[in-house]
Amino acid sequence: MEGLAYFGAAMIEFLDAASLWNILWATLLGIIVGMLPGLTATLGVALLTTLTFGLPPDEAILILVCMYVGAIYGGSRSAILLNIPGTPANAATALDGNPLARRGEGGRAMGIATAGSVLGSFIGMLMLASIAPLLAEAALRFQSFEFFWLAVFGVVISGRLTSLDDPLKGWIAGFLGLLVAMVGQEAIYSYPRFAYGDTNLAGGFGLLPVLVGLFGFAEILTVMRQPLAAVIKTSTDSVIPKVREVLRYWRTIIRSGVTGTLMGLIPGVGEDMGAWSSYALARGASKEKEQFGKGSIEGLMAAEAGNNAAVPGAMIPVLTLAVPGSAPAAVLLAAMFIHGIRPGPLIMITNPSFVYEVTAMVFLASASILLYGLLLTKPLMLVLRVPPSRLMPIIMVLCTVGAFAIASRLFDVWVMLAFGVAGFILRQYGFPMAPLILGVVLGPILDSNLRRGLVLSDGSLLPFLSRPISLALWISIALTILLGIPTVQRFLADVVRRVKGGRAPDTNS
Amino acid sequence: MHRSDFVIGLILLGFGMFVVSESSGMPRYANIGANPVTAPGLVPGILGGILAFLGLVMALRALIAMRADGRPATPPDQIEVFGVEAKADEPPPSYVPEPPATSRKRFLTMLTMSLVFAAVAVSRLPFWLATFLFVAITITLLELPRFSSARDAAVRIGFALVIAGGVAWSVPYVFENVFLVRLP
Repeated sequence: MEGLAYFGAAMIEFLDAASLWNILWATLLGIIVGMLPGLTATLGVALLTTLTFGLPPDEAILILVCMYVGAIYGGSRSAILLNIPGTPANAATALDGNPLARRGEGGRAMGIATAGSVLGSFIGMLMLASIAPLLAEAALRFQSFEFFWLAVFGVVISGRLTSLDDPLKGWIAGFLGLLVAMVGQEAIYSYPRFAYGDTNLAGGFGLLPVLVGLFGFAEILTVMRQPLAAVIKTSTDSVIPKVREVLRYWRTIIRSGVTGTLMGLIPGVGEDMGAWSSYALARGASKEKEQFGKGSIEGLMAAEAGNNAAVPGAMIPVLTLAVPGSAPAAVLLAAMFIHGIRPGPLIMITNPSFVYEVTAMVFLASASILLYGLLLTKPLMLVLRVPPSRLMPIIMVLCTVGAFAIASRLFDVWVMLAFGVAGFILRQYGFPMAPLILGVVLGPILDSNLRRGLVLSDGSLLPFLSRPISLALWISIALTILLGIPTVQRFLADVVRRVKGGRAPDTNS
Repeated sequence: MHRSDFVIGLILLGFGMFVVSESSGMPRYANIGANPVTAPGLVPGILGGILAFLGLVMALRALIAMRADGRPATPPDQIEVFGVEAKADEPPPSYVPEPPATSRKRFLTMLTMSLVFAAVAVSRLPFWLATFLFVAITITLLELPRFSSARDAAVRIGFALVIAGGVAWSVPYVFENVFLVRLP
């Protein structure tokens, strides 16, 4: 009940003219950023963090949440119409959305995507409001040992799930991120690591310049390197979803909402996996499996409900553990620190209303994507006609300003450029960016908690291995690594085959 | 793919070993009675070691794959994600094939112009001027291959100048006056 009162108070707070204006423009900007291939939710949130750091904390975080929700939804437009996911989270959307568009049912597909996104967000929002206080309470028992393993767990699981075909590259990206975080003064002795006498390096790499480089400049270079899209499909049918069509798949919506939220909750995994896992589960449970990949309404709904539910899901660990659930959530976490909000296990004690304020922000952002989805879908299609040759130079200007503005250091612009080029090269060779970013965020947590834990245990590793939560975490890490090794996978597949082969005669007899 | 993986693996191995060696040279503050487990070099040293190991695994894996006969030289073109087949290399139907040289030129233009703008121009010219020149020249260079006639060229260049003017005016205005953010 207390939660509901906080939620009500937050809703009243955000229903003034200034906040409503911020919700409307930030969500619209988010949808546009999401629609444009090459501009991701991460970049949108990072650039807006720069823009809004002079605003009061509540308004700034509201704008960022609206941008985040809007961008993940907006990516479905280009996935459906162009078969190019606007953000990586919409890749599963393209599988069924684009076949529908090619059949001349683009409007119907966009309507279903809108319904799926909004309902997925609502389910995620309910889970955020109910899980976050419980997780925060559980996290109060976390000590340095658990936080150390949580940081390792984040990097390992993110590396595994964002690089399913080659986990090794995911893990390498994660450890590179952790090393990036090691540059600059450390927390115990203020010793400037890897600074070589340079005062800028002694200050370390700022998260935002690194992010803008990896998700902005690197993305610009990637778009320029790819062949350009020349055909844009338009739709003439209605974009308003039929209530009966939506309600028919209520089981899929709930399942996808829950799955997406849980995927968002896992550190560094995020919306992409929220969509893919919801889609896979929907196909497994569907009565119309053969339709999947050919224009299935159920598949499209599952993918969009899954990725949008992952947005509030990714905020759960941000608020309760100060560990991001996804790359855009990492920027949101950084923005909270910039604004003096201290998320973590103590949040329900020091700032209990904040969790429900974020829930209200997700609700308002979801309500405005419904509004835009129903009213503005067709005019927004014009955005897809802007050629990259005209758009990308403008984005580059924004990236430069975004990297510079937080600390007013030209060094940050060079950091953005260096990480942009490095990120482009790494992406060309199949290294995912999400674990790298997670590594940059988790590096200081891992560093300080490992050393603090070792001091507490007087150099002994035993508490790291034997405390109950630590035990569960390191076993999960070990299993994730083992199951990511192809030899182990082949061995297990072989064992399963033999067991099945051995059973077959019994069942026949 | 395997050859590049091999080279990248070796680079990571070397980089990891360099990090380990640098970390071992960091002070341990034993003279002030510090606990050795709090040494600043401990965590980067461990991370460098892990990175070197992962690099070695990647290089060895690529080497084994290169030596294996009859194996595919590139990863399979279908990736299975949670039991869902996602086609990795199939071009979307809306793409029009383009010669690789065109995209390479476009990429190099963008890279060069961006580096000149962000690393050099913004610190030496007023921000609005650097932005105007960067946007106008970059759009013109990127659209150069599409110029079909003198009139088309004039229209495209005119468009580039209008966009550049708009960005050079609006970005400083919005950032400095509306959001009170400082610019380079």
